Amino acid sequence: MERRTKERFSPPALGGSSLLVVFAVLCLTVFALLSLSTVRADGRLGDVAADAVAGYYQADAQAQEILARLRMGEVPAEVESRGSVYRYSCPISDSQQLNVQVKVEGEDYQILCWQTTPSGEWEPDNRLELWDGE
Amino acid sequence: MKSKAPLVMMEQMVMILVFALAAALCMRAFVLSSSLSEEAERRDIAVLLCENAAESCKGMQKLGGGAETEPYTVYYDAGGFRTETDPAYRVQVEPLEVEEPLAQTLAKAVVRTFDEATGKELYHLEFAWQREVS
Repeated sequence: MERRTKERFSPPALGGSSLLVVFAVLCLTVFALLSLSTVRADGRLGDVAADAVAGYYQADAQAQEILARLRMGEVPAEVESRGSVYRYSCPISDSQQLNVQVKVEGEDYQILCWQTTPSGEWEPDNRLELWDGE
Repeated sequence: MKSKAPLVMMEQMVMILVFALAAALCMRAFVLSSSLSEEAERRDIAVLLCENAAESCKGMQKLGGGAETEPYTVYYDAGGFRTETDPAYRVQVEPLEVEEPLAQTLAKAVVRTFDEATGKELYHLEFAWQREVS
């Protein structure tokens, strides 16, 4: 009986463990690269968000300074005025600006508009020929 | 017939070595990803805390308070909630000098968020607001 068992026993096929390890290493490498690329993308997104916040507060501080000058009776060159209503804009980024419209009477002021808007010109896309009803 | 057992054994040992090396490298990549992710999370929370501090400072001005004269410090836990015990972040608001005569109508401050464990500055933001003239 014992002899028969010994005869039947055969070692695992050559190359089986290699295949298994190659597959496991491949999986590990792919997951490691994926996690690194995800984290780097997340970091870049965070950088963009932090830069956007910094840009907004820089523009906001600039707009506050112009408003303070208007309240002191000084009208900076970049400000358009119509009576007691003043309009100016401060750049936030290459594509955005802070538009401000204020009414200033002496040191009293009323903010009419304090809005972030796109700074580029809007160009309608007319490439598609749509049915105009006729 | 010659036994294949030593060959299989050798193959398995080599594969274990290869797997160990690859696993060690991938583990380093996972640890790096984890630390980068934690750093990005801390920076994101710091940006949020700076924004909150800046806006509450501006809001307090309208209520008759603010950081016009005295710097102040607030502590937050790892989740970004205000705490006094075991803080993870320290938020400092310091007033900035404004030249005369603009100082009559304008106030400026800088808010900085620090990692309480390392003391490293995570983010800072300068902001300005209008002084209410009584």
